[in-house]
Amino acid sequence: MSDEYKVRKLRDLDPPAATPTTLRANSLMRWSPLRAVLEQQDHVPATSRRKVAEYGLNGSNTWHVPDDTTGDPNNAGGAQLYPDDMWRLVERQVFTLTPGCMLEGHVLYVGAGTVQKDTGGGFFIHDGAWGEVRVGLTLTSADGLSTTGPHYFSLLMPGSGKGDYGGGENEGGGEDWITLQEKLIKSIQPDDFATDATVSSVYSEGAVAEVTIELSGAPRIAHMAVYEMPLVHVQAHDASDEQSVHALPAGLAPLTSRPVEKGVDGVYAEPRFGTTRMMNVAATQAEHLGPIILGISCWEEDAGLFDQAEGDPFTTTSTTFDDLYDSTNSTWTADNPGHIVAASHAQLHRLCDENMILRGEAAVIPVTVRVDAQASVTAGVVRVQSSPYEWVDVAIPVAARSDYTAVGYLYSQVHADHAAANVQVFFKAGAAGTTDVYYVSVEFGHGR
Amino acid sequence: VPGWGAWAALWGAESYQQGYEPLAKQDTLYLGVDGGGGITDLAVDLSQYDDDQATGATWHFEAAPATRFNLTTEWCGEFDVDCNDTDTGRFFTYDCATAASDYYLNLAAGGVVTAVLNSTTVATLTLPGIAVGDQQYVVQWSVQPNPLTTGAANALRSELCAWNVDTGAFDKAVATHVVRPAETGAMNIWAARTTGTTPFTGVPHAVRFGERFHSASEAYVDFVASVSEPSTVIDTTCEHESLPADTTTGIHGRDNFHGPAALWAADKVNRLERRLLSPLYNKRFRDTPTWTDALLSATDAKVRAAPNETQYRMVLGWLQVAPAPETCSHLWVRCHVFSRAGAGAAVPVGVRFYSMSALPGELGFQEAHVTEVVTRDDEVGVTFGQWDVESLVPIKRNADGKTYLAIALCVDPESASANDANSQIIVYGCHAVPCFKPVQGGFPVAP
Repeated sequence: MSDEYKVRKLRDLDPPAATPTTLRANSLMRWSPLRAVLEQQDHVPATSRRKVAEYGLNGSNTWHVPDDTTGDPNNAGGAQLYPDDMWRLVERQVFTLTPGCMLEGHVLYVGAGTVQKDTGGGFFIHDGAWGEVRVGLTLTSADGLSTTGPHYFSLLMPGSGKGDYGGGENEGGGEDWITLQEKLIKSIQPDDFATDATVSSVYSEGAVAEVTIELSGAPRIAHMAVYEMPLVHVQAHDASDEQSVHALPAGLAPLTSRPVEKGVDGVYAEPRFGTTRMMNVAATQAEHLGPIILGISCWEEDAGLFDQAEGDPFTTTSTTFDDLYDSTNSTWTADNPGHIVAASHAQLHRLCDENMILRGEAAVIPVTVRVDAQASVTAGVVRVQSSPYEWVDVAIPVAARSDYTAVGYLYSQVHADHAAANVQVFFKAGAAGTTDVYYVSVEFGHGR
Repeated sequence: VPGWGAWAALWGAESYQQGYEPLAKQDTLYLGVDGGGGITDLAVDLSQYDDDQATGATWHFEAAPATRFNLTTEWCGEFDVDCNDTDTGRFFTYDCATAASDYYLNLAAGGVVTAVLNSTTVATLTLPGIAVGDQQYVVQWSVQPNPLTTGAANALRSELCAWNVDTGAFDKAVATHVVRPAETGAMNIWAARTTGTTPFTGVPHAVRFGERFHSASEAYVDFVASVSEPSTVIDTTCEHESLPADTTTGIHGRDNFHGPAALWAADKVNRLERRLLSPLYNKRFRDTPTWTDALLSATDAKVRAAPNETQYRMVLGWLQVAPAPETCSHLWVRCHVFSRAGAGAAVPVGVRFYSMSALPGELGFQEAHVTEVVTRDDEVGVTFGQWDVESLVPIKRNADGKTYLAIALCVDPESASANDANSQIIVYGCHAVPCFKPVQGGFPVAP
């Protein structure tokens, strides 16, 4: 690998508008409209703010953290009444990171609850009132050969100061709204990503991210979102694989009058200079950039699982498909509760073209489905379905809990205001078996 | 996964936009439709190749070398037929000298369809609802390179789909398998050989064969049922024409100027500008408490009056924060609501979705909302409710680009019911999809 790198910061880009009309036939070849195209290519990944993971009340009207009135936290020899400092996993999503982007978190919370310390032997003492949330990030390079992480980034939240032990709940009407606080968890990225090109060049293009959200103590979080923030795209100079960022250098002379694969043969090649590079970027963006479709976590806020390391999985022993959330619901319909495939802006010509293929009557997108699950006795199946004819089945073999992946196609909205593409997730077990599902991640595309 | 240069291989060099025959597309190698003349009609090639086939009694064929059907990694065959549970025979057979290069689709008694490649059955499907009497079926075998391949044994991915057009029933089988060894042979449709061996005994209506993976939805809209284009008020720009991004196009050759390549890329970059827009709210709620007028009106730390409101109640469990990219102006919103009356007549329920620039009460607070009042008595165990609101709302965001999204409810907002106490509401889910609504009049707004 070259020790020279192409670097493009993806913040504060303000590309000039590039339109086909500025490149009319029979007009003089000018440098500026073409340069505008090349610069605007970098703007596409820089628009990403995809929400990739989240946690919160999720419909619940009850915190999973007990109120201060539950009992004396210094209950020597008694049962555990409040959370301790054990980390509890509440969300885990796996997805392909938008090239050049890293992550940021936004947390909405109220005063934390009371915490106990486990002194061993079943003895607990009061450990104050506080809560902590941390986001874990593990990256795997597109070629699967390099990994880094988990890197953790946390936020400490103070106790509410209420009740006998400092962690009481709000009681007045709307008081949770009034005391709502918000903070950012910034720069969720490997420590050396922004400073070491040997690191950032490995994870800038096509890296797969595993994001976790974990709790410790007694946080009361109404909602938190982890989302992509464009940062910097770095690549080795001799990288000739798919690239989503053009990274047009500022200091080079205008293009030659004819297309070339590379510009100046100097100390190193400069392939981003040429027309081939421009088309590589356009084709790569079209094929690989798209929305996060949906994410599901088994965590249930009102189940009060403050003393568990993780939520209870969705579980079934049914040998026919049941809805993940509701075993009484076993059939897909457009009217049922579900998620949505909101990918109208990411339709691919070869699947959807508005004139000759699906003619604007329907839309279908490629997706990758990852399921964190396990099956016992006999194999199970998880099905993600968005129309009567489009679904993706993920086989869950009899094995230890793991991530299982399948690719396929899902029906999407044709336009963003198209009332369609309801997604239900179903699962089933094999004969006499059990299927447990912890997390589901669905993203646009078929990977690299 | 093919490299970017290989995507151009999706399109044959001779392919082009036809525009005059709706079922003949860029990738279509053969299209035959029965207009009442049976096999004579089906043997007329309506594709761009316009290369009619020879006919047998109940089949038609193109003798070897039928070069255009010598496909190895990607194809799609679609067959529209009438058949019953005693019908048998081939939908098509690409018949080569080497059996391993044959590929065909077979129907056995009982409606069992098998897709065969390399002398091996790669996928099997029973026609849904197959019966004694004839019914109309559309069968599709669509093949593509397997993105998750780990070796030769699973290099390709097949979807075998079948619709019972009469009943609407559908089934699908997905399988992985080897690449087809290239070899030129004869293309026999509705038989196994040019001589008519293993003829299809049902009634064929149409056949289309192409060199591109087709989704199940594509076969549906082309052969099963017509679908109206959904109306829209927003701007949906997305990929229109694949780039001929292959060095064999000569586009970077010494005798070519920048023009076409630049034009393609300029068009593309505009069409990709909103590609990464992801839903700001895409929830099927994990917890779904039942709300009543009494609960919404009670003193509850998590329930507050909606901003600048006295009737609607905003519930903390549905509050979300989300970053709204600069490429979107509006959200298309829907909320899934189950609304019933525990006793008596259905009660009107107001469902409102808010986009807010800050938390209520904070400096710089602005909000926009959409409301729908629904009057339903959803029956327990019969329905799970339905999607309501389904409207556009402008995004209100702060300087950081964030918007705060919330749902508020109100039982009987117009005081039209005397049965408010029996209203029960469950909100099962909520979607907020970002989009760009063009300005009507005035200056154009760049994405």
